[in-house]
Parts: sequence; C-alpha cells; structure tokens
Amino acid sequence: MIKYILQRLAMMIVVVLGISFIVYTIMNLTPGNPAQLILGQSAPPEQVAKLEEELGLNDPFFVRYFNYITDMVRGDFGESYQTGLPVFEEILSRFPTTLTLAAVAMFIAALVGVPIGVISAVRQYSFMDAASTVAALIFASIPNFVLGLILMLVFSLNLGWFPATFLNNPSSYVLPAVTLCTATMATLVRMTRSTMLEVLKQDYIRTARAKGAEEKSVVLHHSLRNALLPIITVIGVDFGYLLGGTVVIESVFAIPGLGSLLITSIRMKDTPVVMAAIMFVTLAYSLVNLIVDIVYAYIDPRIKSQYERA
Amino acid sequence: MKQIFLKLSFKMSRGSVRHTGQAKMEEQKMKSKKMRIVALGLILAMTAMSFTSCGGGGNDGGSSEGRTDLNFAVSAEPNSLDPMAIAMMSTFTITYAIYDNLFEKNADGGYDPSICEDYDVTDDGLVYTFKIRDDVKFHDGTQMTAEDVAFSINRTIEKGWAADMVAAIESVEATDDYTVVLTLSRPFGGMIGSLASPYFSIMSKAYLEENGDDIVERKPMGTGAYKFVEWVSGDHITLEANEDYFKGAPSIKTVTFKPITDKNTGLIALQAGEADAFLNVNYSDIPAVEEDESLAFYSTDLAAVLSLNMNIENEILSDVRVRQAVNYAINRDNIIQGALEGQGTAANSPVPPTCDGYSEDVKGYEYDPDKARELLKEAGYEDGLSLTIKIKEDSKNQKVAQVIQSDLKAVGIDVEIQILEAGAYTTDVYSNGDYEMTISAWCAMFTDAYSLLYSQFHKDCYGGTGNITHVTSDELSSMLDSAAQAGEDEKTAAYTEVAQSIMDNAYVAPLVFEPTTITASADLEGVEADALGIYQVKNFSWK
Repeated sequence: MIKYILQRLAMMIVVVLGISFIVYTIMNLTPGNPAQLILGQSAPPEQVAKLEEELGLNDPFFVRYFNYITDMVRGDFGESYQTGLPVFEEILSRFPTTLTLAAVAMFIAALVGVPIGVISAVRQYSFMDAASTVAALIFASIPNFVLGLILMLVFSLNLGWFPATFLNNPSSYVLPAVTLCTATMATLVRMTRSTMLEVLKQDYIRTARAKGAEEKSVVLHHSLRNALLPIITVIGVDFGYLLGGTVVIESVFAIPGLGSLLITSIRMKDTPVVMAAIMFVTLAYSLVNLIVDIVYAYIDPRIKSQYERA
Repeated sequence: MKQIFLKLSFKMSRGSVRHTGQAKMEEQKMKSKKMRIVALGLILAMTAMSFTSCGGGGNDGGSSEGRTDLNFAVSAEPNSLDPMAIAMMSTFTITYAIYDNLFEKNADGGYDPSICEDYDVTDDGLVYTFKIRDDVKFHDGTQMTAEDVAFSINRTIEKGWAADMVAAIESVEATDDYTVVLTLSRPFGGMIGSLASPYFSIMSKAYLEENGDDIVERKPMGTGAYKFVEWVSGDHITLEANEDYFKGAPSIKTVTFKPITDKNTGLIALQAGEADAFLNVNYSDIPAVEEDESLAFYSTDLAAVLSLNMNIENEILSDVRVRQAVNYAINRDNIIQGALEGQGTAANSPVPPTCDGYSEDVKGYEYDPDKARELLKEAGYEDGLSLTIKIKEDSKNQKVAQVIQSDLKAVGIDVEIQILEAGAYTTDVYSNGDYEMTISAWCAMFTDAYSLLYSQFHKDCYGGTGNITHVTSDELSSMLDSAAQAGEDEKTAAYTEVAQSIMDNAYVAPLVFEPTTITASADLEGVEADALGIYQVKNFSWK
C-alpha cells in the first residue's frame, strides 16, 4: 500500500513538471507583451524597454524556462511581474480561501446530492424521482455566473440573509459555495441514482431482502456501499472542476482567492503567478485524487488487494 | 399448562409483529408525505428564484446616522500605490486621499493652491515661484518643506510616466525651506492643471531615502487627509483619517477600498449596502439606479472621446476624402442608441466638453451618406472598398463596431471586425501600428485639451506613445506646440483651431462624448461626478 502511494507521489512530480512546461509555453506563445500590459497603453517606450529588461523577458524561451524550473525546485517561485511581491507568499495567502470554497461546495454537493440520488433510486418513477431529475437538469445547465447573480439578488438583496460580496466570515462562503456546487450536485444525484438502481437489481440484494433484512439496512449497507465507488470517483474528479470553477465564482462574488488572482494574472500575462497558481491547483487536484484512490481501498477490500499486488 | 402458555406467548408475539408491521407502513406513508412536501418546497423555491426580478432594492439602507466609515468599491485591484508610476485611474482616488498636491481642482473647474500658499509666474510664463505652507506635516509627524516638493517633482520627471506634462520643465529647485522655483524651457498653459494631477503628488524625501524608492508601492506615506493602514492583497486597502490634516480632519474616519471586478456584483453590493460608492455601473442599469431611492447617481462627460481611429499610413486611408467619407457615413445617434443604451452625446470634436479648450464651434461631421458616397466616388472607389476594424475584446466596443460596420456598408465600404485579446491588441495597434481602423478612447490625465491632443496628434508622440493615427504633419505639430503655450485667455481659441484642423483632415472620427458616473449611497454627501473618474474622499460626508 505504501509502495503504491509512493509511486503515485512520484508520478505527481512528473505531472506537475509536464504541466509547468505546457503552461509556460502557452504563456509564451500567446500574443501581448507583459511589460506593455503592466505599464498601460500610454506608457513611454523607454519605460517598457526598461521593464522588459528587468523582468528578463529578452532571454530566449528555453533559458527562461530552465531558470524558472531550477529556481522553482529550490522553492523560489519568483516575483509577480505586476506587483513585485514574492509569488509563493501571495498564493499561500489566497489558496486557503479557494480551497475552503471548493471543499464547502463539495461537502454541500455530497450531503444533498447523494441522499437525493438514493431516494430517487429507491422510489424510482415516484414524484420525488421526477422532481430530482428536473432539478438536476436545471442545476447542471444553468451557468455559474447567472445562478450566482440570481442567488445574490434573492438572498442578499431581497432577504438580506447572506452578504453579496466577500466579508471574510463563514456566511460569506454560503452563496458562492452553493453556486459552485450545483453542477457537481446534479452529477452526483444522477450518478447515485443510476448506480443504486443497478445495485438494487442484483441477486444479493434480493437475497438480503429474502432473509428479512430491514429495508434501511438493505439500502444503506448492502446497496449504497457497493454503489459508492463510482460516486467517490465523481467526487474526486469534480473536485478539480470545483477548484477551476472558482475562477468565475470568485470574480462574481469578489472573493480574494486563487481564481481571481489567476484571472487577473492571465490578463496581465503575469507568468510567474499564473505558473505557480496552476501548479498549486494541479497539486491539490492530484492529491485529492490520490486520497480518493486510497479511500477506495477502505471501501472495497478487493481493490486493496489489487494495490498490494501492484 | 406449559403448552397453553406457549400458544399465548406466540399469539402475543404475532400480534406485536402485526402491530410493528402496520406502524412501519404508516411511517413509510408519513415519510413519503414528508418527502413530497420537501420536493414541493424545493420546486417552489426554484420557481421563486427564477421569477424574482431585480426590482425591489430590498434593503432599506440601514441608517447611516453616526456612520464614520466608507466602503468604496473599485473596479480593479491596483498593482501599486505609487501615483507617479501607474495608469489606472481608479487607483488615483486612493493616492489622492493619501497625498496632497501644490494645487487642487475646485468645484468650478479651476485650480486652488493646496500646499502652496501663494505663487507667482513671470510675465514670459517661464518661471513659477511657489510659496509653500509651513504648517503641513507628513503622516510620520515630520515637517514638509520645499525640499520634499522639489524632490517629488524631480521624481515625477524621472519616472517618465507623465511625459507630456513634464516636457516643458527645465529645472525645479528649493531656494529656501518654503520656496520652490520651477523653470520652464517654454511657456506651458497646462502647468497648473498638471501640478494638480496625481502624478505630481508630494512625497517625503526622507521616507523614500530611508526605506527605498519602492516603499511607496505598497506602503505610501504623504501629507493627505488619510493615512495608509493596510493592504490585504486581493481583498481590500484601508485608510484612516489624518486627524492633524492641515485643512482640517475629514468627516469620514475609515475608508475601505475593495475591488469588485464584476459590474453586476458592484450594483448588487451598492443596493445591499455593502458598498457605498461604485464607479460606472453598466449603462443598461442606469435607469434602475436612477429610480432607486437608496442610491444617488451622478454623471458627467468623461475626459475622453470614443473615437474611430484611422491609420493614415494605410494606402486607402491616406486619402483624406476616404477619411471624410467615413466621418460622413457614420450615424452617431445609431451608436448611442444601438450600442450605448442611449447614453452619451454625438461628438463634434476630438476634445470633450469637460476639458479646457473645448469649443462647440468646432465643425464636426453630420450624418450624410450621400456626401460620403460622392467623396468615395471622387477618390476612385465607386465600386466599393474593404477595410478592417481591430478592436479590443469588450462587448461595448463590439457593438459600436457593428453599428459602424452597417453604416459603412450602406455607402459601399465593407468592414471586417477583428476582435483581439488585450495583449495582442496593444502590440498590434500601439506597438507595431499594424491596423487600419480601431475604436479607442484616449483618456486625458488632467482636464485640458493638451492632455488629449498632444499625445494623439503630435509627431513626437508617433506610434506607441499615443499617435496611432501616425500623423506627422509639421503644421499640426507646430499648432499643437503654440496651443500648449497659450495662456488661459487664448487657450480655447488655440485649441478650437487645432481641433478644426484635425476635423478638416479627418484624422479621426470622433463618435460619442460618453458619460462617466458614480453611484453612491443616497446619504453620502459631497459627491460630484468627476470627468477623470478620480474622487476626493475627504470631501465626502454622511448626512
């Protein structure tokens, strides 16, 4: 098991390096001069040239990439082109907000989505099932920024329950997290429903019922545990989606997280910040997926034995 | 006996089994009932959500009585708070609160001495002598002297950002503790206005020398009405009142600047009372804002002109008749109605009414498609021609370009619209001059025609510095030079001549004088729309 985890961690390094190269190349190939963008359209050409020199933009691409990676390995993520502040600290100060947002969103999605999925499966074709299907369809299709604004209008402006913009307290997370979680919640409802339906038709469920097991035990113990694997997979994969989704949500709700930093940095072609932010997200995503894979082993002993064989 | 007992117990247990079975069924019925109610609730909530419109304005504002804080929402987080090395107008509201200038703009559009008591200009307009107040202290308690003023002006020159404003300055020096002498190489009519601009903020020489020149980027310190408190990256910048301010402590004690990039969010934050002031709400929201009693809406003409720029180095556009035809072919009212939600007025000149030097006598171009066709025919394009408009990715620009596209199509000019991402746009249009037509609005840095026209049309500013039209006319440049030297009395006449020459040559097609707006809580007093979008928070107070 430990060997397996170590293997996975080693793979993660390869993934992060690969992504760093891709992002660096994209940042380099897209048009626009960071020095000009930072100084503004009307900046005097001498100032632009001076800044280009300071930022080391005149070196060849591979030299710059190589310097970047060697610095990064030593733990130096460089300084932001825009603000001149150390990138690592900037990201470290913003990452907790984004991570909390994504985690709260995932928590809400799972807490609401899985039970509704289970109920829909157990009461297939009931009114509840139909209602959840319609709701899932709506939630999966509505764009984040539209829902965000609607929630703001209803819950901050008309009802005054939650703040519309980020005030750095727990209630500030509610509306953004609800907005962010809808698509994942919808996926979870549908996923839980379909896998549960499949499991409920299995012979061993019939056997369990025949031997007089209580319905609650049949549903929660015999069926849900077996249906949980694909659900956990969705949770793992969608966590990456949620981390990425914060880019839009954070601009809408004015949240000082990694997403809003990333979007302004991309606009300004602030390569060091973009690189570090994307690598942080990649790392968080890979770690969550690793955790998901480890959780598999505890849910399904068959997988644990596979890991150990590998 | 034993048997009877067994039977009995069996009966009893059977009875109890039946009993629990019934209870379960009932429980289940109850449960499904509950579920139905929950589901119904969910659906109702969803319906309510989708039908709730933005009206209402729910909050009753809360009472502003006794409030001493202000939440100012800005459209973007600053890169830096060094007013001498930024070009983000929203940031200047913050630096204006921290620093003072030699002069300050007054309500009538003129300039009052601020940290200078008195000043004197020689008759030839070349030597300015400023008498500095002796009761001005920096936030760290040190006395501000002429030395600091001279140091700051020299720093502005050195930084190079206000190139057009410092161009005429030959030297600046402190002759004693409270006297500064500014010598110009040629007269410059916009000198006092320039000195009131944020680029000429007065900094402490000692503070910069002790802590390094970069210190003012994140930790500014000046003599202004507000002291810098903290900057939490991405979240907010906080200032607090300078109780020892030489013009009297401001009434609002704490000011928080918070970036809100989404304009819809900005409006909701205003309506919810989370923000007290926000600039430039969406044009489409203006009617709703005007109706909202908890909000006050202020508007004035922006110190910029939304224009269609033409690259006269392009073979087709080098012909003045084609440029005039473009000017005649555009129906400016269509742009206002079709792209700007009815906001703004048709522009007759490259100078907006809010800038010194504007004159309504400048003859612009009326919408006249027949005249346009005639001019094109004369220029040899009776079979039509095609041109491209390169624009920066932005929904407003896109709409404006589409209106122009259809107007030009009507006179036989096929227009292709190319939308570029900001970086690529700046490289193409400003750095490389690789474009035919574009839509832009060059912003003045102080409300003087000089700030708009010199950079855009003087041959010395060719290309990236602002002259994207690529005009190299000596005649126009010398007219601009003499207009720059004109005193207050001759300024309007001089710039009327310049603007008329630009219009006659059709170097640009001015489209619309757009408004710039501020929306604030109705209880906030002392707010007045500013053409540059730079506000003096110290003038604000709660009712």
